[in-house]
Amino acid sequence: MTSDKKETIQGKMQQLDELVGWFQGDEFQLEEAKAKLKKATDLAQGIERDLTAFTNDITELKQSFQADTGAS
Amino acid sequence: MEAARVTVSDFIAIMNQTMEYTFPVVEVEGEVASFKVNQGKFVFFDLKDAGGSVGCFMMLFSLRVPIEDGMKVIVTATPKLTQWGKFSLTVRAIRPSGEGSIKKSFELLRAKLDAEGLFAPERKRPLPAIPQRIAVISSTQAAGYADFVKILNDRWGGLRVDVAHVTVQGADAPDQIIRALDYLNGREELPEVIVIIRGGGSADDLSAFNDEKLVRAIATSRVPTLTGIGHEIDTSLSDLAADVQAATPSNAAQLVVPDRREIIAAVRAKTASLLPHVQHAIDQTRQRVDGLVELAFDKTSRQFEQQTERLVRIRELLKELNPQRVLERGYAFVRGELWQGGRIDIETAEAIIKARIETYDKR
Repeated sequence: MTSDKKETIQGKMQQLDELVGWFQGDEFQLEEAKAKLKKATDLAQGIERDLTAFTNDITELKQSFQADTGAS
Repeated sequence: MEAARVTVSDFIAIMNQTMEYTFPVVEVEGEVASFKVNQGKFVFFDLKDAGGSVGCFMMLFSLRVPIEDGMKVIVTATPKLTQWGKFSLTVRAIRPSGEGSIKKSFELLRAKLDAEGLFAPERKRPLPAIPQRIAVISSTQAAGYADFVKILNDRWGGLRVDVAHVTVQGADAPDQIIRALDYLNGREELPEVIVIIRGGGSADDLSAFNDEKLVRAIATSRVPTLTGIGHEIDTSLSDLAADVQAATPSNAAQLVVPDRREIIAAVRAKTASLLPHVQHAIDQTRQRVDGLVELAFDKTSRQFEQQTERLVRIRELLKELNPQRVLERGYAFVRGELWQGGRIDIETAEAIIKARIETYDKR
């Protein structure tokens, strides 16, 4: 996941959910559907690509938590 | 050899120095008797077995688990000879020993903390559906931690994980975990979840997670907590105090992040569900257009028929009004000089006759 919130998987999934909501809601317009459908497909592909490619960043903290080590 | 002669005070000091050198710290196992708390801060009890008894003293704040007479315990202590010549153990830590005592201590503390509401369901906070940053408190050498990381990496990616390495067994474990909790709760950028991991072990191995201070630290954590301690059958007081309890470290990984395969399947299903909406809208529009065309055709046809009928009627009328029809009925048109002697044309259906008027009388 990147630091740009718009580019996070969560952000993309939220956008996809909004698009799905648009297709299911009263605001649906056939004239706009083609562009929205393409956007949804692109988002889905992006999410799948991210989920497949991203790895976790696991860091062991340098702090020691033993007694009298001054861990804070 | 000449006997050393010292004062009483020096003798006591020498004895204490000798014991401190020989046994700086000693663990003694025995049964608790005559347990009492004086002035709300000093704890006294005897530790005994079939062959003897020794007095013990400790501060109340060092008492981390409920103790009562008859319980078998292990004390971590320093031997001391008091200025009144009484031998005792100054206890630094005490923990129940043996299945019966561990269970008894567990039940006593659980009842106490439950009465305070520490395990109440309404205190539980949900974990974020898709966290971006989590923290883990565990021993990085433990098998349980390795299981957690393996499942975590298999299920999800892009997660930032800060790991606080602590010991998860023994007398030091509770304080190390508490320090790690305090550290993580005090960071400027808080994790979204703190996961506390410890693989399986005996009741004694897991007893660190029944430490009262640790249980309270978990219950008061600013950051939601998830525990994955021991096996499915193990439940510690830390588990009860956590916001979410996983059955095992592997299960903790399953609870803290979604499975990327499930998300991908869900995303594909969502995208696939859009086309039927478009198709349905196209079908509806087509039906509406077809309906309008049919309506327009019907209206046009009806108008054409009406106009055609009108035309027929006009044609019939015109036919009726045609002068030729009058002539055909036997009448004749007379045109010309309408006076006596005038020349006129008489037009019948069959002929046009020229004639002269013999008389002309006005009516």
